[in-house]
Order: sequence, then C-alpha cells, then structure tokens
Amino acid sequence: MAELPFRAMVALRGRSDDPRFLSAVKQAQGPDLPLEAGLTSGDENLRLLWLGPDEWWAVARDGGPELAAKLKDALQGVRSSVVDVSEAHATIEIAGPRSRDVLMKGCPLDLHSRLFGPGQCTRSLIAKAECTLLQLADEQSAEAEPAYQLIVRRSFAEYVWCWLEDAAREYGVTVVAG
Amino acid sequence: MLLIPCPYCGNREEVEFSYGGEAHIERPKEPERLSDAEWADYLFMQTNPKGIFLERWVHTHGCRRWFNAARDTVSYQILASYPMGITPPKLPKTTYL
Repeated sequence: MAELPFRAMVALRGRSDDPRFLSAVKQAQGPDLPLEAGLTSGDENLRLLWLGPDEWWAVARDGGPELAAKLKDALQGVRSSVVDVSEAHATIEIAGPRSRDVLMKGCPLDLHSRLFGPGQCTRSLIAKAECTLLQLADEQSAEAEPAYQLIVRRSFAEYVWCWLEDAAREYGVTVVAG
Repeated sequence: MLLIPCPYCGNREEVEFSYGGEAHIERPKEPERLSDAEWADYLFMQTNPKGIFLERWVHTHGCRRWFNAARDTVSYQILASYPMGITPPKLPKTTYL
C-alpha cells in the first residue's frame, strides 16, 4: 500500500461524437480517448480514464497545470471543458495477492477478474466514500497480484487510508513509499 | 438491494444511485398563468401505480448521468432503463388485483 503524492488529474468534458474534439485530444496527449464504458488508455506516465459518456480524466505523475494548459490550447474553439483537479484528490495504490479482497470489503462493485480486470476504471464507493478506482494494466501478474489505484477526494484520504489499512491488516499489509 | 442497470455503466448496486421521482412529467409551458392548485399538482402530485412505473434515477457515484427506468412497483423488478429524452420502450402490461 502506498500513497502516490502530487499527481496530476485533469477533468475533461466533451462530445465523443465530435471528431474535432477527439483528434484535438489525441494530438495533445498521445493515447486515444477510451470511448467504451469503464476503459482506460495510456500508461503510468499519462493515463486516460473513461468516467462518463462525455467525461474523462487525464491522470499523470505530476504537472497538472501544464497538462491542463496543453489540453486547453489544443481544444481552443472546440466545445469542451478542461479543469485541473489535481489539488482536490489524493491517490492511494494497493497491490498484492489479497488486494482485491481488501477492496471488496467496502466496495459495492463486483471486482472479480471476470467483470473488472486490468485496464478498467470506474467511479464507485469505497467504505461509503466516493472514489475513482482503476486496476493497473501494466502489471505482469494481474490475475495473481492485482494492483489498484484509488483516487479519493483529499478530505476523505485519511479516512480511506485508515480504513484500508485496517481492512488489510488480517492479510498482513506493508506501507511502502509511493 | 436493487441491482440497477445504468444505460451507460451496466448493472450497479443501488447505493451508487439516487432517486428522482416520476419520469416524463412535462414542465408547464406558461408557468405564470398557472393557479396555485395547478402548480401544486405539477410539483407534488405523482402517480402511484401498482405495476410498471417510469421513474428517474441518477448514477451519483458512477457516471453521474440521469436516466429513466421502468420499475414494477410490486416486484421491484426493473424491466428497462433508457437514457433521458428517449420515448419509453413498449413493455408488457402487468395486471395485479
């Protein structure tokens, strides 16, 4: 379990049936916008999350304002909205053979690999707090040792962290530097 | 606990949703001409059928979209869900005593 500090998150809204919007985003960022429910694209350096039919998040290691500025530039004249929401959120990563069991104690989703696998993301609840959950796709052994990232509002971060630590205690949890 | 089919995200648990009351209630075209009784009727009076009921839901802790659902008020079975602004699908009539 680790906290990943100071990450960049940019909320992006626009019409998925507008080719100008899609090509502008692609030009600015690289990876294609995922258009299907609950999918992600890109990698740890820059990941795009599908959160709604016209809503995405761009998540990167750092540099929220720069990322937002780049997107805003590219989307000039295209009907869209770009908001840097990095400061409002905290990211917690949890990985290991029992990480799925820990999350399923407090999440209404069915996280079984048949329904929620590597490279998928969604907004849901963790221990009653709203979170954005994604399973990392670039893990070598996603089935045996799934790795998840939880993005929660920063005011909930301490609560969610303590809850996760307590839920994971029975499986033996170690906290590592993010 | 209901398993609600969000038209965008698929089946999700009820805790992720909020309820929005009856669907397809049209806002009065000339609100300034309405009497108090007519306003009250528009704002508060909803049908309360035994059987299929068209209602609004919002996927608050999910894609945050509003949508409509057809729920049987006797069995609580959700027979269909469809995005806002779409005519409701034809559903078989249920009859209860």
